[in-house]
Amino acid sequence: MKVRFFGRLAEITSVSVMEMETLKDTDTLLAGLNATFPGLVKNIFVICVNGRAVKGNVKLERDNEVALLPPFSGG
Amino acid sequence: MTTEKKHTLFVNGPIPAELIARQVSAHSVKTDIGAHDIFLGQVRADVSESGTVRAITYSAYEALASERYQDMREEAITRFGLRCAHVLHSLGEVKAGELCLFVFVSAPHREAAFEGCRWLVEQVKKDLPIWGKLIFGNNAHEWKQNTVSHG
Repeated sequence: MKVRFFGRLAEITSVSVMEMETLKDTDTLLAGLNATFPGLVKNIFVICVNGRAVKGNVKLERDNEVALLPPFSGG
Repeated sequence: MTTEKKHTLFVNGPIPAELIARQVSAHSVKTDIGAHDIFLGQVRADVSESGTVRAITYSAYEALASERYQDMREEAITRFGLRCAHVLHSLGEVKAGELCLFVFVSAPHREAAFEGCRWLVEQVKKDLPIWGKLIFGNNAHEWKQNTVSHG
């Protein structure tokens, strides 16, 4: 599965996209990211799976594209 | 499944002023239009503790932004009875004084054009996954924070 980072989050991870083995669910992903990048999950962001914003813990599947989106600031 | 034409959302770098004239000319063939409303967003040299903004660098979740824009554009056209609508947003660096956002709506009458344009500007700023990084004179940077317009 693919994980995309934007804005401040991409600065913390130093990458804008990561390919990784499919994880069980979004909680597992966040725990793993927090272990690698301490403090990452303290930032405000919305989780998107395949282009749809999700709330709470969501199961993940192969070929999912997850994106962590900080508050938008276009325009 | 309909294969509808995808409307372009992004432009690399600042939006050139000539583009605005070209867009206006291109719509002169649509003679059921009586009113256009155009909004232009320009990078402002804000002054803060970090210094003076010399540019904003825009990045986006491009595929999702483009998809959301198609729906947003259709909604604007339906909701306000517009004859046409276009949004262009810059990606990459836009210097203070340069244009980063172009919203252009056309309608038979002015009320729909005014309302449709305003609605589209607010929706772009609220719902499109686009981020601005403020670049200061000393190359320090801060992430832009949007505010809600109460005007």
